[in-house]
Amino acid sequence: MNSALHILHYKTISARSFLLNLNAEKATKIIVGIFVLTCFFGGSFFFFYRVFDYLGSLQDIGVLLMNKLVSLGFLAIFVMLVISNIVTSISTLYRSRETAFLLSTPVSHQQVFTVKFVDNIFYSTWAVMLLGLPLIFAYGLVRGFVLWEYLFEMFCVLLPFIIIPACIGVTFAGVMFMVSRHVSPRSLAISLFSIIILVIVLYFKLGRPSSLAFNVVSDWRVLNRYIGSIGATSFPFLPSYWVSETLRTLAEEGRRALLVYMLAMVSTTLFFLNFVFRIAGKYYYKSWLAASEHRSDKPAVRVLKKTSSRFFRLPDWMPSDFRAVLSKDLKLFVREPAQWAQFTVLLVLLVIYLINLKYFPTNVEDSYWKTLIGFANFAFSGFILATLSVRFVFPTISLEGRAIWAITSSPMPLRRVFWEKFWSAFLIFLLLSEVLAFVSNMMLGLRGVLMLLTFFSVLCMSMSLTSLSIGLGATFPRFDERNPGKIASSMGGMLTTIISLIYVGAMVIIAALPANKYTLYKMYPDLPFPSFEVGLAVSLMLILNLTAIVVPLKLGIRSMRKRNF
Amino acid sequence: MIELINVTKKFGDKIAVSDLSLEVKSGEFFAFLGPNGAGKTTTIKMMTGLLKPDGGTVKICGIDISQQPGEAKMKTGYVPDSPYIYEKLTAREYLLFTGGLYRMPQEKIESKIEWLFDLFAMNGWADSRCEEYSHGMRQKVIFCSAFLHEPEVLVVDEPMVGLDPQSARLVKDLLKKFSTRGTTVFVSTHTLSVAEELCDRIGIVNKGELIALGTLDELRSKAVSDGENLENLFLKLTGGSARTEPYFGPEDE
Repeated sequence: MNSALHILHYKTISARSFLLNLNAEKATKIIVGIFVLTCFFGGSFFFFYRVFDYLGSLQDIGVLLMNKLVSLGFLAIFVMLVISNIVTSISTLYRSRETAFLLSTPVSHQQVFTVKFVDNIFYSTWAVMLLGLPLIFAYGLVRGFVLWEYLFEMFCVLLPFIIIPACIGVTFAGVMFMVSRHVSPRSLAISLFSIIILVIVLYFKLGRPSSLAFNVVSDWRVLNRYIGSIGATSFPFLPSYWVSETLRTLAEEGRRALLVYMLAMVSTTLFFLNFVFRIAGKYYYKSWLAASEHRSDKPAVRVLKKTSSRFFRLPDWMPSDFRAVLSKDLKLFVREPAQWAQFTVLLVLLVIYLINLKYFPTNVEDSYWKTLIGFANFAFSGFILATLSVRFVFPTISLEGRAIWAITSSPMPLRRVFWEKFWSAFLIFLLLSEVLAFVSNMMLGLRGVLMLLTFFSVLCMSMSLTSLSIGLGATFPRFDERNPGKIASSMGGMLTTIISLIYVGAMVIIAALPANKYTLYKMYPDLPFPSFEVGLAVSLMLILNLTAIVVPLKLGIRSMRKRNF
Repeated sequence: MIELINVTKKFGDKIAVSDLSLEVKSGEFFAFLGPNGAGKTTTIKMMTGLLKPDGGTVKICGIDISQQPGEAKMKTGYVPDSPYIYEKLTAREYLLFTGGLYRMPQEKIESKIEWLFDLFAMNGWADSRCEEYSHGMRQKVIFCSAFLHEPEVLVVDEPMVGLDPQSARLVKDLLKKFSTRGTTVFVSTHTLSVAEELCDRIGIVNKGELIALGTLDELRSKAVSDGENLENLFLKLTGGSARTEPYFGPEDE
């Protein structure tokens, strides 16, 4: 039997054994997880369905907007898949102990690569696709596709759509490790991200995607110009464009037109697979060796380390146990390339967002639009915070891993460990999110009450999201896993993502009512100040945030106390 | 047999293994001694294809592992210091899996598995998942998988870690038996008693360089001529002190 198939066969046995030997606690967690995922899936499906249904009812422009939305959705999924594949491949193809084990056997390097490539696709794709599928199904339903045909067609289209970013991501990671033999990983990362930012700035300078929204909402008279500009932001050479065009042609021109895009996707996938496997045959092992060899520090790095060790020397007024754990956490974060690489990716996304805001029309005087833009910004900030907290705070307890005995056997109480994790993450998030809120509000020309409201809400959100991630991270720990990315995309991580997103949604909804009334009050000064609505919103926010802070932490501490280390 | 010809490995500007040349003959039991960080594991990783030498050649049974890694690995059984194991597989499944990686026929794997389970007294545990095993039990499974395909060369990194006295005795006996049957055994350890008890020849490595090589008697006679035992010779060669009295800090003086 082919070695790759042989290994995959036993990995399947291993997975089956995991599922068949679940204890009651794990089974309950999985059932609850599946239930919440289903609710999220259903909720997002319903949301997209309502949006598409509404757009479908608008004459001419509606279908166009719907297609544009789907196209943007697929572009976002495509970008997420590429990033996810790069980040995941660092651990699955290069840092995994299983890879080292397989490479010590007579199995050819290419076969090992095949196994890990399949692994990588699975780990980097499932969570992203789970977020994307509601959009696809809602679109299908609104455009009246027959379910089984649609499922089959989607399978044919999505399979290549998943494989292409995997090929790109894996190649990128491989090149990165090959180059890292000659260049230090830090300068490599800085150069790469500088290039990415440059490309993105150029994209926004040339493409101006945000101008779409403005054109639509403010200037209905220049509809022709708007329709003409839609093409400018599409990328006809990207698979995301082919998928959205496949969907469009399926709905509008029938199956015959579908063939062109299907052929484009299948041929590109085959080209990429052929390319990646040829390259892997020659260079995978070399890049693995490059990744597994420890570089000794050059003098400049030594100086940097000396400076950073001064940075890690935390103030003496902190309790020594608290200081010890905090210092250890900071050092581990900085010394784990996968961690700071992904943190930088997310920071880049934030920069993209802020650059995008720079091109957003800020000369909107109308209070209604100002409030709406403010809320969209608030919701987006919440979304970013939720993503960051699940990705970086959720794995912190799990990352203690097998070394957690060092803490649990020390005199430091468990509750204190939780507080250390909470405060360190919260303060970093608070700083980041308040800066984001300030800069974005300034760029959008939002001042006064709306700015203060954003500051207060962001403070609440930082606190609650940190607590949710730490508490649920301890409730669903993965002590056997060293890769923070995998921990964050585990069932517990997904559950935390969903709960965090629901929380952000609830915060937006609670704030919406007084904001709406306040806007009306500003527009029509005869109306009374909405004190009841403001009071209600503040009370609801307090209840929601207290629950989001206290309950997860209690659950987490209880779960940890029940464990044997 | 194993040949290391002028093997060098650097990590940045740190030299982990420096111009190491060594030949371990067929059926020989060789102990590779050295303190922590001496370059033992780096050398073993180069012998198993997990690191590539910056200079020199590593040959297993005459096959250059850099040129023909698959062929060289077919002849090698490897027990790493911290082995990877599929937690959710049972010991039997794990061995069926590794047997497949070494392209052994199914019937042969099954019969060998039974023999190994008998040998390691693992029959009661054969169908339990590895996650349920103690450290020693896992180590036994790893040894089983290394012995499974009857390798011509056995490379063992720190063999006694986590084994109970019975299992340690068993492993020692097995390694000796394999070596007398013609298998080349290369053991990296810093447990001097293992080297003294089992090995035909000993190499002592320090800071990436081979600083002593010879049979046990040769090293012993050198030690005696220097008025030392093997442990003190080892400590002296590797830069440790041969202090006999424990030292509890300045207050002790």
